[in-house]
Amino acid sequence: MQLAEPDRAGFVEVNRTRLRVWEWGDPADPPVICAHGAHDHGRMWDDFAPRLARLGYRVVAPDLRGHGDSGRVSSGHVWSSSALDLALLARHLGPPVGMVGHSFGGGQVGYVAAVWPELVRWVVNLDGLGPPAGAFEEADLVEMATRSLQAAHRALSGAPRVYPTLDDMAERRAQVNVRLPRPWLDHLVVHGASPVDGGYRWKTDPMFGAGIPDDFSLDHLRAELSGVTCPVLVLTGAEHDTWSELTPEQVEERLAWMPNARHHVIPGAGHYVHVEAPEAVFAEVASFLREVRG
Amino acid sequence: MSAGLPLLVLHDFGDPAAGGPWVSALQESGWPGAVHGPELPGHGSSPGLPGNYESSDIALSALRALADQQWERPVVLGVGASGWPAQVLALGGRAAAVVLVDGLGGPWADAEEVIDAGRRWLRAIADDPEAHAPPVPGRPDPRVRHGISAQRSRALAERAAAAMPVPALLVVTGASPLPEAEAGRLASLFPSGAVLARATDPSPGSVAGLVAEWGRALASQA
Repeated sequence: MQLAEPDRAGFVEVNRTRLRVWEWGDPADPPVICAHGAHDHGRMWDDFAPRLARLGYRVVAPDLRGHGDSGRVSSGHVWSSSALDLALLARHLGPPVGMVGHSFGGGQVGYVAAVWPELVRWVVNLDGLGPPAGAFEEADLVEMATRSLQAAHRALSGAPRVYPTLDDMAERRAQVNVRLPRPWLDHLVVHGASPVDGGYRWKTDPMFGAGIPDDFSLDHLRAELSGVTCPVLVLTGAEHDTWSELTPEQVEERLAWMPNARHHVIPGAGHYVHVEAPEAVFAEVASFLREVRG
Repeated sequence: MSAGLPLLVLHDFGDPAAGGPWVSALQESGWPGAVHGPELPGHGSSPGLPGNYESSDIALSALRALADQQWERPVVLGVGASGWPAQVLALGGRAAAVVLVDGLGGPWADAEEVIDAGRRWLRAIADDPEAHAPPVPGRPDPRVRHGISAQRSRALAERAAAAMPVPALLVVTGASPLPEAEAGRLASLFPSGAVLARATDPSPGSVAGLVAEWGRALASQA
């Protein structure tokens, strides 16, 4: 694994928050925004971003609100606020921009393209087609409400978990992201942890996990995705993984909702498709960009 | 905690008067216990939020208020858009009973309408520099004028009604987003029984008397 430090780092004030932004490439080049997944941060693009910059792009990877060094959140219902952050960041950089997103970030960049089509030239979605179908099944509402209020109570009143060492944090992530190579686990932990008395804590805001049930369904996801009219490249991994639970039929169904989307399956990769198979992913992205740039 | 039936009031989103008039009106009408009506974020002197207002922010304000008051399970009253957070508190075991003033949700919308409304809402905020500039401490938040995404799913309202584990008072006024017949249909789904009452408008002065009367009856049964 060869990771490049960002060429520049700074902060941008948008939408009542302060976004930490990491940048690669010539500031005069066309801008691309890279949006990470939930519980990650902008340094997860340390491999992908410099490759993209070498193609002639200014690559800007923010820590999304509630993540990394960016501003905190009032609750876990950040979907619309975070999308507005990205839209205003695109305006700040000079639209139209390209957008790349992984997982939660993939959903975010698609949503920005649907709400503000004038801001987004193209989208690359890395395994971010939304929750698995099971997430939309009607669960017991009393149980859902009880769980969500307990989580909110913990976020409001509980002290964040402290890990004695960074190795302990990497071990914890390895239990969730079972396919991530150890050097990447270490990299994500180093940039995703803050030192505190007795060890380290995650930078991700504990309030990111606090919310209440709402009425988001597969029909809502369809309505969202059908608004994404710009060219879209979707890349998913061939291997089963945490957060990659869509069946091929479900992937095809969701792709069909976007009028200008194409899809490739990357062999030997799971949910972190760009981390596990960077060469193959970048070859697909470069081919897509040659096409959409005309 | 004072004796009697404590009542937490969650005022409507966008109500410039916030919770104060509700507390006064309910106390004057003889609510049988302590009444607490916090100012929701961005209202009155309560600081604005660093992003969009969501129903979860109202629920979190309610949880903070419960902690401040050291109340475990008060009666929770939700007005308008605060009706859904009030229902979630009741469903989740943090309310002994629930009062919804035009708070059942609605007007009903399908998924496309909800997503379309969300797009227009976000674009309007993005195009309003005051609304996404940092809020000024001590002043009402200009972002509040863009509203909040209300609960507009008929199916979710039906599920919540059918699962509601506590007594409920449903107040329907002339400003209700639902026709009275629809509110009546939902009331019939509450397994612990729901009392349906009518008021001319959702102001504290119009509603507090019948809420207090229901509260006294509830307290006498406890």
